[in-house]
Amino acid sequence: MTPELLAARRIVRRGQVLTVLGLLAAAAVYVLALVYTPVEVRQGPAQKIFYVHAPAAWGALVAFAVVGLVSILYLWLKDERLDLFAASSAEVGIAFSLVMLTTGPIWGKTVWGTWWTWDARLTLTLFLFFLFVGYLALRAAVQDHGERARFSAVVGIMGLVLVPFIHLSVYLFRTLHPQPVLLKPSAPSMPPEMLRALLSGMAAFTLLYVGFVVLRYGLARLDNLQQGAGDAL
Amino acid sequence: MPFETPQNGGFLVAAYVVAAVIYVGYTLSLWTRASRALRKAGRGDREPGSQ
Repeated sequence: MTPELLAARRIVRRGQVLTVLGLLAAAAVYVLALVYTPVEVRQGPAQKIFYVHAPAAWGALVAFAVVGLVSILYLWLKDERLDLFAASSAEVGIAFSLVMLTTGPIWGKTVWGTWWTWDARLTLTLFLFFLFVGYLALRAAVQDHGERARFSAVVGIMGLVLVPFIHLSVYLFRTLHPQPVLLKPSAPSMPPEMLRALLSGMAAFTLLYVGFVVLRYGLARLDNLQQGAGDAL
Repeated sequence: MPFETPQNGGFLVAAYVVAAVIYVGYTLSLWTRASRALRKAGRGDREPGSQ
């Protein structure tokens, strides 16, 4: 067995362990949010969607930021592993985005009275999602490994530019979406029980993100070894 | 008129179920692909001429 194959198998195993731990932590957050956090008086039980929606948004933005940062490193160092890691993070980011883009409208329907509105935060988030769907489509369409890595790195960096803009969009535009309660210059603006559940959610879904990415990256390395250089993602 | 807390628990359940289905579905997808790749790697390892 080659050292590369051994390393790839080890990465897959680590990814599997981290993913299981992440899922267990996410299940604990479900229990914490449903049982131990108070019901918000004005919004009702639907406010608890927040504990799933916000960590999913966090996971998606972290994933897409990682794609951009690792893509910059790829263009600099030309290490194929960086390209595979960026593509792995993009796929995981799409999974988190799907959670964000489905739970958001369900919550929105109860508090805004509408499933969707074309305001800045929501529209930019949808653009980001489509940008990374395009990123994966591009990778599937381009056969030459070097070109595929280079083109997708450029798209990944464009996504990175969008990430801080999405975070700041609630300050820059008039929008229905609430302003940040945690990632802002002043102290978090929520009761301690809610803050505890939110922070637990952030930690649990960050762990799940890491598990997914490591597992996907190990899988990409395995595929790469089996199919020949660069055909993995 | 006293303020009444909205009864919208159904939306909460729907959102949590949708999120769980996506996360578990993606986990299963990754797990299946990884198991297949590991099996394939194991087979390749046993084939004559493989390192």
